[in-house]
Amino acid sequence: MLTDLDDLTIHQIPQTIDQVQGRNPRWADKLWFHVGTVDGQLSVAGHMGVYPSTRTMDAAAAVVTGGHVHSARFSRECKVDRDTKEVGAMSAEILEHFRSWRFVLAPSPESRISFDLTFKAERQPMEVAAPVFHRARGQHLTWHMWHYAQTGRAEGTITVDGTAIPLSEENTVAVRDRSWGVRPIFGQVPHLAPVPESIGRSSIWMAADLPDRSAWLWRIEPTDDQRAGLVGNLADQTGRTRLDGALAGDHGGAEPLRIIHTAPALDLDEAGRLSGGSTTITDEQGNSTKLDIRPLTTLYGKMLGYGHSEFRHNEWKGESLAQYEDIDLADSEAVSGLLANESGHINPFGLEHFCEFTAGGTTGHGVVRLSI
Amino acid sequence: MLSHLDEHFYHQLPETMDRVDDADPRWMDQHWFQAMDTQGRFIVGANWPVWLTNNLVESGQIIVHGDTQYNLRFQREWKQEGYKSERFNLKVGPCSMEVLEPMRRARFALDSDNEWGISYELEMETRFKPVETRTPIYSRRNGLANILPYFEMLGRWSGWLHVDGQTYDINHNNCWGQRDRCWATLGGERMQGWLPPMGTGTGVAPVSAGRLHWHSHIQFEDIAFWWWLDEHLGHPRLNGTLSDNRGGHFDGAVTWLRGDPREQLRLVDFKDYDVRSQPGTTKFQAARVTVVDEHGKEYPLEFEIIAPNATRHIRGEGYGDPEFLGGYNGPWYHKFDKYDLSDYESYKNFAAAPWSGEHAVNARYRDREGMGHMEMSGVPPLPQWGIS
Repeated sequence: MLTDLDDLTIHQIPQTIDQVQGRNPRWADKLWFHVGTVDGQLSVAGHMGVYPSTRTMDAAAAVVTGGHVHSARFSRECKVDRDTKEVGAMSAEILEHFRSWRFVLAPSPESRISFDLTFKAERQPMEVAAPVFHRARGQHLTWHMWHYAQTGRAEGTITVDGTAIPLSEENTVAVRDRSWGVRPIFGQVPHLAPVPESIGRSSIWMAADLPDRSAWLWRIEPTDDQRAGLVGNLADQTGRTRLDGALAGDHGGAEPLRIIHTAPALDLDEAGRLSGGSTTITDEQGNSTKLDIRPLTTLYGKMLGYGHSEFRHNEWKGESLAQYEDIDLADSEAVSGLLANESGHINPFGLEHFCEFTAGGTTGHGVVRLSI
Repeated sequence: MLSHLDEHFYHQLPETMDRVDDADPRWMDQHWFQAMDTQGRFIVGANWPVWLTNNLVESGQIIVHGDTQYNLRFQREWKQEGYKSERFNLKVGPCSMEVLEPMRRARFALDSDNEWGISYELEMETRFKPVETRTPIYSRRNGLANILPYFEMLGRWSGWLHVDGQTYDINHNNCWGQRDRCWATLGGERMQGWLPPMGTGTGVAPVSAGRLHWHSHIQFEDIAFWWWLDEHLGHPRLNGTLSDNRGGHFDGAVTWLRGDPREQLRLVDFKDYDVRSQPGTTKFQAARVTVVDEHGKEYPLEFEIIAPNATRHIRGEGYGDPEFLGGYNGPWYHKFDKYDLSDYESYKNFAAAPWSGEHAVNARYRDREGMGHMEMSGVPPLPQWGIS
């Protein structure tokens, strides 16, 4: 169907912009962000995705503070303009490409949270060198996705239970990403075939805003150890550890350096949450840096819909849907539910930790996302 | 390579926006327009293809003024600097264009820094609901397929044109026309000799004897028509759409003003057509056709060229030119020439086929007076019109 976007010279396939290559219902074009305060008191994360194959757009936000996590999730039919980033009370707006975005969760009587945040980035985005790709069991393509990440700061206000919390570039670090293509939705849909083989047994995604540069990496461990110690890129299908990453400086500066080696040594609690640790990252020029990692907050990806049984990304959720969920993190049963994953495929974004990174006497902040 | 377009939810591939779905060197995303003076004093038109796999952007410009057609062809290589996608940088030498409001307003400009000293600044406001072809244009040439999604917008123009020392003020009353959008692959001249001779059985429709090609955008105050027909006289109609290139095919629509709640109607047939040439030539003079919509309603239409040389010949913007339209000619390429449209003997150099060209015509539909564009050509013999 013809839409306004077809008037722009942006086509990639011989079809109108409302369509994508192939007919895989797992096709997504999405964004994610996470803002944390450097004092560790608060994290807010958000997601928004458009799924042309299912004519659906959804969005979600979650705030963790004071021992509680609050979330709001929305979905709507997307028939015409896939680039209008408004779903329910959530909206996202590009203020300046790669430099500034605005994320808003408008207040509503049903929601205990709202925010109006502006993400600002002085550093370059860091994109994958090859797509995240995984084809299991013949034709069962579950990953074919491009991806980039960027670090920055945020300013604005978050309101929790009526209390406004000001955020500034001085007391925050922000991370965001963009992904598009096919991804598994973590085994949830469609149930048209046996659950596809997982892309790996565990995943670490990390983006850090360090004093002199940004660092991003994504490492996925293979399902077995037959090729332990061997490393390929995120499209590797040979059973090696998949790794990609980059180190980026300011806009207009040198091209980001690729990360070619990492040595993560993470401490996890009994539930798989990050409790500390370190990783060494080595760039293409052979320079290595050891980053000590200290988690400050924990946010559960399910609150954003990653792996949520009643809010599945990609899936048609009716013409309009709004959900609100509040969880007391002292409620062990509720937290167990957030940590559950019966999909048969890793949920690589099951846990989000806003972290402090220290290296050589300098300190930065960022986000580590761990699989469940 | 990331560009500012990757920030948007535009993606159709799991790749960055500078990439397309295959490495076909014919892959392009194109703007095209034609602005016609209602008195027949001038026609302005241009194409603006962006070649995604060849890293080129081009613009072929045609300005018909009186009996002269001025042609300018520009091509440049593009290379992204910073985050700004070159897909949106539609500036080529003195030519520039931008979509001001998708589907509604677009601006086209030519600076006077060219051999003909012609300049213009034109903005088209889309008056009618855009028309999409029922299927993409599809054809297969010697095994290589072409596919071209396509849609049309009919509207009115405003701005100004400076040519031959005269400046014309252009407004919605005195300048009507259309623009279109197409993308992916188109064959023909753009193949640049990579393939063996095409023969007569290939192309958007076979270019065989007795063929009539007729592509029109016709507008009246409250109703507009678009159609594309390729008829092969003496052969059965196959009733295919533009994705069927076995023989004759037809697609068209009746469209209404923007905001009109009525749905567009597909045109499904045409009949009672006739074409008349200017005396002593095969230059187009007049025509008539009755088009039939999906409910069987008939629309009898009559046309007459606004002025004897109110025709734009698209060889001037590069169609049929082996050096242009996707062929790499270095970082920068520019050619110019002109046609004397009053010299019929010269037509064999740029418009040899009967009735060939993009004509500006007055149109009549029952009691309505309008105007439009008629892209037409014939392949002899066309005995019913005395063309052998």
